[in-house]
Amino acid sequence: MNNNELSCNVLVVGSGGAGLRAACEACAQGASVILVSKGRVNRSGATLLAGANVSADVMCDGASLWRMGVASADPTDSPERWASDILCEGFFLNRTDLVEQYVSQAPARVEELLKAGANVTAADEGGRQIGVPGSSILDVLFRKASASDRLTVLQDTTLCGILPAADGSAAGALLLDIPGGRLISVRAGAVVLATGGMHGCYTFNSGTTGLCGEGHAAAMRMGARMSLMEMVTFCPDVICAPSRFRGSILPYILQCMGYGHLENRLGEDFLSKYLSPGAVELALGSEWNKLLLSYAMYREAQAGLCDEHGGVRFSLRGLTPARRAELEETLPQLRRGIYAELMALHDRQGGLSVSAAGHYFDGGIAVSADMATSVPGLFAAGECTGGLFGANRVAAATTQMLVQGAQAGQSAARFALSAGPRTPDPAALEQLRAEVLAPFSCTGGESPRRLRSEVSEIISRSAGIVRCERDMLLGLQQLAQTDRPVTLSQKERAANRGWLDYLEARSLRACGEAILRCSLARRESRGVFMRSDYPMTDNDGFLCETVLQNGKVSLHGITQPAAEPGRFDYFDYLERVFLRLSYAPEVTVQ
Amino acid sequence: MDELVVTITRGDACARRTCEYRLPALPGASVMDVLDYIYENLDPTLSYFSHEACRQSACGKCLVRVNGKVCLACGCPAGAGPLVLEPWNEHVVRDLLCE
Repeated sequence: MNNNELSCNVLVVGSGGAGLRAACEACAQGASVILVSKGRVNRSGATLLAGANVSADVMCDGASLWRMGVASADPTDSPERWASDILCEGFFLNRTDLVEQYVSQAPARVEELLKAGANVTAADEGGRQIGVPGSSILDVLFRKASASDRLTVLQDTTLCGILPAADGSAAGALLLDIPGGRLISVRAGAVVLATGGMHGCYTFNSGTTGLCGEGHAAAMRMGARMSLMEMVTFCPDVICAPSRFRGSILPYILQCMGYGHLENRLGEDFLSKYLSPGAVELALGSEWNKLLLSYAMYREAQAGLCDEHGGVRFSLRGLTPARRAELEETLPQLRRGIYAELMALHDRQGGLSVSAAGHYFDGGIAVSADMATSVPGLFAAGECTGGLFGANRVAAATTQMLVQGAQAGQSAARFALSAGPRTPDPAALEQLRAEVLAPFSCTGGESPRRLRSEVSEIISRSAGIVRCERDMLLGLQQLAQTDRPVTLSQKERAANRGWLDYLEARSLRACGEAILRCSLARRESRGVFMRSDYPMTDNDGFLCETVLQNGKVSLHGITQPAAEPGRFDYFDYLERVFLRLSYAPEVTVQ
Repeated sequence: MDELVVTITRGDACARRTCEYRLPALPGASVMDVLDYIYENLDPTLSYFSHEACRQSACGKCLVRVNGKVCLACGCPAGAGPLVLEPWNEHVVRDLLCE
């Protein structure tokens, strides 16, 4: 044994909220845990940027929240009512076992976050939620995880692949220590994937640079079932330019709080061109704004009415001085650091160029309510899983990671401690090592950076906000052509960015193919998923889960009494479903 | 055309050298954007922290010494230059990437 060969009971890959919470739980169950972080352990992944690191929604049913002493919570709410809302929000594609697990476990997770001293920035956000900055959630979880002497942390380390045992179960993983250039093989009794989203698939996204779907890709290579991979949420109001602020969702957070308005490059309001009056109200006054505003921005770009950066203008100009002062009072973060600079830029320009960016991945690795994947010994939690939120996530990614992380940590620890040590298949390890090291022995290949950019450009073009068969078939064909040899300019393994680009391109290509294959199979429009060639929501033909396994897509019908039979105009249906939400009366729909 | 001149201290802790890069002015760019430009267009062997960067001054990992002052590469405006970029501490892995 040397430090390139490690072993543990539970290997947790990813150190955002889901990974940290899984590590805490697995340690508490008595397992030895290795926690792998692609960056800095308590400052990586999408958790850090949740709610622009100002105020991320943390949710549970109002009655439970009220019992915790949150005065704004709705004591008449219940887990059942919340579950029914989540099904409507997800346009009935949610896995009901995951929804039940989620609503029943959320109160305990939220309460422990509060008791551990998370910094609550907004407690008056409506009946079911409080606001906590992403960094505060990470701090609380990391403090708890580091208290265990059973935890080993590997930072600046990425996942190259999962190592199977001879029987095909997960028995560890091959990792790359990025600065050191060392390949590390880990033997584990169980593996938890908590690698977050596939943000790198999109050239314009709101994630950190490291979110490249490594967990999704590794699970697919193991033959794991994937669920609803076509469902991708775009966030509107993400800053396009200048490049220094590109990717920030701050304008979206401000808009959700009721501040600011949007206009095209001619200074016109454009939402009513593409949305009915009722849908405009939902776009401006509800959390269904992500899909509606993203759609309107897409149409405006198609119409050639965006600025030179491809964005529309988000502006606070219409605010009275008193409202502006109120905003800065509510969010004191706007008065310091990067956000103060951003506000100054806004004031100089009279607005900010914003557009819709790849933001949250509703689909992912299929899990059961104990967070087990279809591969024995392999568990998953948080954004890299699929199914909980169906076709549209509203409430809430931060709570998902806490609930699913704790469950995955517990299940993985129990599995590992009862199944005992496992041995990766040596042939599989050698094959994976050879694949990972291939670019070092290849001459005459291409630049890995160029190939990685090409992969995300293809996915962005073919699997964007509104998709069609022709573009997607072309996209699949073009993606297949990116599987070309690469050559590294830097020959040393340590701190080799080109090598990482090669590995990331490999994961992104697999994720893009999965998104496209599942999108092609769903011949309708529903929730965040829109097709120009199949614009109706079709409960007769597509009230089903798209399952991808070993490269093949199958459709599995869902029995959901709440979903009425029929085919509906996408926007009419969206408004109708909205009216069934328990919180609908708070927004006046015409 | 306006030009941005960037001098970067490269190599590891034992053997250092400086390299000069000339690139087109990048309006509104941060030092991180400048490094990305050099890596993508001029020199694919450059090492700096980019593998899990938030690019929003939140993770604190992209520290670099810019014209003598330590700051976050993503939060520091590149301006019109010239820029002198050095590792922010003595524990250099390679180029601008430090432990």
